[in-house]
Amino acid sequence: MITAVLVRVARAVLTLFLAVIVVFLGIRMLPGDIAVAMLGQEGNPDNLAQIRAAYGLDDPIWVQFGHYLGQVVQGNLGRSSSTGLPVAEVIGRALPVTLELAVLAMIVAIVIGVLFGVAAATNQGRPADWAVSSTALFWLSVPSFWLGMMGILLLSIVWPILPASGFIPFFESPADNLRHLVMPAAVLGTGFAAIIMRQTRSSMLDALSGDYIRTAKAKGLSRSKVVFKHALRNSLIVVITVVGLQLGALISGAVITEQVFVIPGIGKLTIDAIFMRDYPMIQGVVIVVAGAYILINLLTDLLYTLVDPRIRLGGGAAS
Amino acid sequence: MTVTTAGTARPARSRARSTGALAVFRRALRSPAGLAGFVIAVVVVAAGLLAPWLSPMAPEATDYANPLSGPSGLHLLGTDELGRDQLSRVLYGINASVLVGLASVVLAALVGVPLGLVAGYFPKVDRVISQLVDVMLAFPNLILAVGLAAILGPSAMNAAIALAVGAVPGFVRLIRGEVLRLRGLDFVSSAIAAGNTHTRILWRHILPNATSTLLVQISVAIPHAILGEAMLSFLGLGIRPPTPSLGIMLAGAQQYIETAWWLAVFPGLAIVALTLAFNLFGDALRDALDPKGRRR
Repeated sequence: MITAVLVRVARAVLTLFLAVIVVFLGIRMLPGDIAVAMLGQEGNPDNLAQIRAAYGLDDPIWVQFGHYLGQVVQGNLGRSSSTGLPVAEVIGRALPVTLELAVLAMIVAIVIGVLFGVAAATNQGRPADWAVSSTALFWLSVPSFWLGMMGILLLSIVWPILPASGFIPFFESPADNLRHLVMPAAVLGTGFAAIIMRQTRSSMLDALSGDYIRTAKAKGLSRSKVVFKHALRNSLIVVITVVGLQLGALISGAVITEQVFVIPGIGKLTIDAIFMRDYPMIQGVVIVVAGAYILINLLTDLLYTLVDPRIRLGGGAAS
Repeated sequence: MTVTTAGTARPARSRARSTGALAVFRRALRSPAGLAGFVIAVVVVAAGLLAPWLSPMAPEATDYANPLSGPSGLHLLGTDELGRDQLSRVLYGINASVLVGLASVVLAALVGVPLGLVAGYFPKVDRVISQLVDVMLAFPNLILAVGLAAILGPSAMNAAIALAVGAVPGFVRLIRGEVLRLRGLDFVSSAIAAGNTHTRILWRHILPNATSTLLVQISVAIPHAILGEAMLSFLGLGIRPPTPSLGIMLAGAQQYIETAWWLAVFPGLAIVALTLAFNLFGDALRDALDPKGRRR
């Protein structure tokens, strides 16, 4: 068991290492290097050479990579080429904002998704099921940034009850902070609610057709006990996996949601960095996001084993 | 990457269900939702492809007398800040979305299917390919696409490439799984015993049996790609203006949202119609293929 966990962790570290290589090489494939990006194509050759020397761009690529890797391992992601601030510090400031948005969105998604999924499964084939399932399918087809714009149109302009954009730190004013995040979190969360709902519905249907459910019903347990204590509990394994898998997609979703609502998180940082051609920043953000994503996948994998004792790590990796 | 499996209600069926691609396709069309999705998809895609003939005005033509005017008889869906006819731009935008979406899925399949075949068939190569796929999956899809689009530079072709790269792992994993499932079956073993070459076994015996699954994956990937294109263009990393694109139109609409709601509403509805149609049909396909569908 412990070796199996260690194997998983080692694989995650290897994947992260390869991801760092990909990012490093990817950035160097860009047309024009950092110096050109900073000064423009017509930059003074002396100044260009100065910047190249400062960033070590004249060294062979493996030397550059070794140097970069050494810095990354120490938590040093370099300095932003547009503001000169340390990349790690800027990311450190943006990360909590995105995390708050993601956590709020996830809460919205899980609550709505599981409740409606259970409702649909227990009413299989009836109008309620049909209504919930079609709403979910519709919601999956709506681009989140458009949903955000419609939210702004309805709730900030036509019927102004929520701010259209901006962000107030939680510790400055918790109420204002939440007021600003309600709409983005709802926009981001409801899309995932649709995915969770569909998964909950289908695994609940599987669970409800199990023999142990018939036994539970036969021994006279109340309907709600059968549904929530027996069936839902067994369905949650699948739901946890989906939630874990979706956390990565949630980060992607946050990028665009932050852009629509002008929230200073990782997503906005990434897009701004791309337009500023701030390569050290892009590099740092992508590595942090990939690292977080790999960590989440690893934790989901491990959590999975804890919830379902039937699944043992290491075995059955054939497919 | 897609993990959703829920489906629509389906009557009990006792006879064995063929899983041939054509049979699955026909069965999907028999469900009302599948038929509706197929019809809407055909209509919207046709409207996009026929944009040069259907649109009332040239998408770049400006009507300076009527900037930011609401829907009217002259401009059915209103005009933007330069007085350009929005109906024409939406039609051209659908055209671009469909072309980029399809191109990226075709590219992803062209790369992913052979990799999946090889990975499933040759265990040694599988280690390398699976590790590569893991690395690709280490980047959330949109981040990968955004990063690639940034490296390649914004253009319709590059958006298709960036989205295709994100979709490749899905194809590799799916086909690899199919190969692993099929190669243990008798007809493959006998083909091996008969001395067929590996290439022939993969192309003539295994791949044809995986076509329905592939069809479902493609139908799932298309709406993803269309949404992805819209996002990239919205962020300024996809199609370049002045080419009309639904994502770019929405990005521009943000500025005028307080006064010109029609700019924000109609391009979005076009995206929803496209993706919803493909999702409906894709769901019906999956139900038609899934043997469990009988129970649902």
